Amino acid sequence: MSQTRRSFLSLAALGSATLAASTVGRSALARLPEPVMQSSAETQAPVVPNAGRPYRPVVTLNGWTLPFRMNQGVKEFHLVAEPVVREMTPGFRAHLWGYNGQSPGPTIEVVEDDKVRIFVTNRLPEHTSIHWHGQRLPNGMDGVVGLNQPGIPPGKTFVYEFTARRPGTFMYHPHADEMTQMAMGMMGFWVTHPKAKHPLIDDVDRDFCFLLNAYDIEPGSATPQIMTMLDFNLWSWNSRIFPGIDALNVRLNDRVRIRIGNLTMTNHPIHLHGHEFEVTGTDGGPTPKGSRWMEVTTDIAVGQMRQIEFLADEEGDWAFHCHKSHHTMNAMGHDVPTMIGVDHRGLAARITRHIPDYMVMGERGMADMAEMEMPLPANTAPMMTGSGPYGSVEMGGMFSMVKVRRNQKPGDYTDPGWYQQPPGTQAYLYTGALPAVRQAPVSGGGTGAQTPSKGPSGQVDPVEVRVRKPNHSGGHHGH
Amino acid sequence: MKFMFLHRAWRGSYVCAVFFLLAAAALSAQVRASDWPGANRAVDEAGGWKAYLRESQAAQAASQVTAFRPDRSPAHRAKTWGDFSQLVEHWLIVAMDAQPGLRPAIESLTRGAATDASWLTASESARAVLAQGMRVSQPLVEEVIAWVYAQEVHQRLLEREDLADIAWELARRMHAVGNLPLQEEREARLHLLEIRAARQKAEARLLQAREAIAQHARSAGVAVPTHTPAVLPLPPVPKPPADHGMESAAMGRVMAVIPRERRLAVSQRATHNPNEKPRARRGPLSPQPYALLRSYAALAQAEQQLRLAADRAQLLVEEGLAVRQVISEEHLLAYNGMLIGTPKLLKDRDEAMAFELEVLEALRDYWLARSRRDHQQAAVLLEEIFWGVAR
Repeated sequence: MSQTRRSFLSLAALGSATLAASTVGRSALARLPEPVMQSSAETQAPVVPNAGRPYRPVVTLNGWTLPFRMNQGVKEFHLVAEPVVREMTPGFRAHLWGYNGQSPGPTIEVVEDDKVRIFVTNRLPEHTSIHWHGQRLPNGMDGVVGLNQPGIPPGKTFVYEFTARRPGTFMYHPHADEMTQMAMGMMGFWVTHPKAKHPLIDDVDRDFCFLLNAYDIEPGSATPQIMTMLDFNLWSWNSRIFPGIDALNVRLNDRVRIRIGNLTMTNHPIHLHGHEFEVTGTDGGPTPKGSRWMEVTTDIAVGQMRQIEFLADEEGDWAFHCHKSHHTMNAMGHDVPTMIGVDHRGLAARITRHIPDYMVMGERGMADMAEMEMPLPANTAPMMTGSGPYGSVEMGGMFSMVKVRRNQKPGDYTDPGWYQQPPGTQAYLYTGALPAVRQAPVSGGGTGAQTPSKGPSGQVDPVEVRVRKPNHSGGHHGH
Repeated sequence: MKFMFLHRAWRGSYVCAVFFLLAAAALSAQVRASDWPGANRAVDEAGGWKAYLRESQAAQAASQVTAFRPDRSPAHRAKTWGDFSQLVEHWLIVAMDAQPGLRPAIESLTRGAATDASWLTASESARAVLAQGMRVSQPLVEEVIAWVYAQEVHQRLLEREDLADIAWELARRMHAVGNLPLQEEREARLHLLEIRAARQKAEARLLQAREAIAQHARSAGVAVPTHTPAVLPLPPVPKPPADHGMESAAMGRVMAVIPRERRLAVSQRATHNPNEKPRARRGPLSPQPYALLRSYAALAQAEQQLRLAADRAQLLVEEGLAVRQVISEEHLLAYNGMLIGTPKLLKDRDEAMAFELEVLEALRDYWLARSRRDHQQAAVLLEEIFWGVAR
């Protein structure tokens, strides 16, 4: 969850590549731009353009921006559709299809009225295409196979050319064998910056973007089930799941914009803690200022883009997540019965006699699982995990944080670490005497209040945990 | 009118019954719901996974792990084979001793270095002794195998019954706090009853198998056994070479053992006519070589059966058990990740035990086939001695 110095060095290298590419000779310009590949799943720092009109670049969460070259006034990009191995969170890798080494593909950034040429090389075993979701463009460039163009055969390169006519937030994805190719992770972000001061687009200090995507990857395997329609088990941002999603690190009183595109098969109510935001842009462009209102959750429907903006004026580590609670979990068993309230005394030992490594879980809720950290099937992300300064965060999937810090330098996106609450500003344990609580009636809407537990909960228990791990293949450590 | 009256009466009683049922259901739900806060309090007071772990660790120290994971090491194979052989030998001796004069006769036959020549010149009385020994030994060996098998099956089913009882107890507790519908609790109960019935059946078979052995014990005046001191050993590795089919094996054996001239001579002796000039004949052989052929065919069939049984046992023991173990380990890992629940984990263990029973059955079939093959080999030897064609 932290950006490193190395990632900034690699960014610098990318910037150099961009610069070099923009100053190549005429003969070189007649050839395909050399495709730039990315091997890291870390958030790369924004790419300040070295050619063309200036703009404030975006930061792609756990992603990167594709360098371009200028060729006689045209911005040229080279996307390579190919199989990739994406680290979705440390210890869990997915076999996906993507672009230029990663899934999702790199973010493409241009400026309003830029002439754009995108070379798309297909290294997949089947044909593909790219639909430039939301763009105004010639019909033959819209990317629907069979309708607007033939598919790009394996091993071939097609060229898309159009002018980025309106500023805003866009996406790109295949429109060939679409369900398969999107289920395999083929998608990317596109940002068109305004060419001049726009009355509906405010300047911001930090501009983040990410895609919402979802996969169904059976625990213990790596390749998505492409025939899954709705019952996905991994809910991700830019093909990353918590705790693999980087934090959005900002400076106190920064004006922050977050652009989000939804390419899953369901809607996502995205919720920010501690701040109110406005939806300043949709698929159709910037929203009229009179139509904006403050809110803390915005629902993003399938195929939609939203850009939200807020003033980061509260210091701290603020959760930022989809509010569908099962979207903030990693792979889970949908048929697991509820064990809450089921007393296992006398049974646990009997079960252990037959299954020596069995551990009772779930009878007090699911939080025990995060605490126990048991070995999992190979290549499986724990359902709920992530360590915070006070223990397990017990989250997964579409969860991250906006970290607001007074001393975060402008342009510095590195993780500042955990927030230290000032004294007197954190919830604390009540140590006074508790009144006797009478059991509420079970009918008539009673709260079912309980007497305080006299059990050992919360006490330091010196039990020695001995966990035997299967030894047939090793590498089954899901944590 | 009368009908209407009855109908109304019936309707009234129906309404009363419905009210009664609703009231009972509400009362029942309230009773269960009123337990709900208490159930939550109870699991909190139980102390959670660390307390259960302590309980499990204490139990583990006190009782053996019962999973059926036979050691496939050469040393273990040798030990189980040794135990099993000793058991068979013990009961063979017991059985021989129970036959008047049989054991001394066999000992006199086999005392000293038994040469091919001595076997070839074995007398009719010696043949009779050997034949009697075979008649006694073959069923006895099968009885011992059945006894060991029945003991093991019974033990496995006892464990499976315990597991089914655990699964049902868990289902019962889940149902009691409203986490499981009655149907599923009843299904768990039914499964327990089915396994219990299977265990009772296995117990009856064990008693039957033990009784067969006990009869030999009583005849020989030795103590009636209560349990077998051995388990079915794993089949030896590597596997015996592949067979070329029953008929070709039988014919090949005939051709190898009986030179053509000898066969012709035997054939001629059997159909000897002093007025007829001896000549090489084509066509069917005499009845005596047919008898030999039948023995060879029976032996070849026994070998074929043994090979098939060995293949099945090897398949299940060498690969099946290992695969099953991985499946169980993966289930446990999936349980750790809350990808499956405890009932499914218990079901997997139950399925593993069902597979272990299949393995045991394959082991029993292997040792039965091997015993029958050995018996048939002895029978062929006797035939060969009789016809003067022993190697």
